[in-house]
Amino acid sequence: MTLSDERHLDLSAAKDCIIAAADWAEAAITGFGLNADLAFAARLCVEEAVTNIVRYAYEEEATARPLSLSASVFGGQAMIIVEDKGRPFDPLTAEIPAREGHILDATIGGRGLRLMRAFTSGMTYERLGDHNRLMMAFG
Amino acid sequence: MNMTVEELNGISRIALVGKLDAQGAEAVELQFTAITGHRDRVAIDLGAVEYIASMGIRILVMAGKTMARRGGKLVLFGTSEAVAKVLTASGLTEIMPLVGAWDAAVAAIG
Repeated sequence: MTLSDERHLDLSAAKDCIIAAADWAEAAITGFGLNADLAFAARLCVEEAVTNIVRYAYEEEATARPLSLSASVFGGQAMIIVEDKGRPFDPLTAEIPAREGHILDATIGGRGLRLMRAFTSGMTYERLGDHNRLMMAFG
Repeated sequence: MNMTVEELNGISRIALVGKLDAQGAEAVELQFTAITGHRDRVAIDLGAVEYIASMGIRILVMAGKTMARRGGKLVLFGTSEAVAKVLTASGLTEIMPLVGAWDAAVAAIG
């Protein structure tokens, strides 16, 4: 693997970083030469993962809100790693509200997790010390 | 993200254009909620929405729920294949009709 096959981005987990992270993920996958469907999936899953971190990982008053993203490619598969130092959160096992059946019973939350599970080809989560480390595979 | 509204045969046709993501949803939420809050028959044209994420889906769900409480009807139509895939995976299409074109939206609203 050459250096050009790896990319890294450091952000602070505030609202305005969601689109920056999504743009970065899409550009990384496109830059790796992977197809538009994978770039779309990566954009979506990074947006959902980062939205969760921005909204829930850190206390509202926290000033240090580290969030980092790494992307790499091997063969036709890309891997994006999202790390934060917020409260532990495992998107693989987090409970998702039951499917509703009727609009009047609709819940607002949980859709982002459904999308991450549907649009990745694999996902692993680890709590490493004070870090959350989420690895998402595409392709 | 932009939105336009047209009144056609008693149906409000709301066309959204751009990315309905965290930023897009925030940009149109006030106007979108104000319109869907006062109409009973709404068809949302997603034909020019190239991308959608959960924050965008959230405003559709909230509008659909508000309208359903009053006995109103909200229908989505015209999505690209990629956007339809997101709506299906999110569970949205189980609680809100998604049809192909304007004529089908009119028929679904009744």
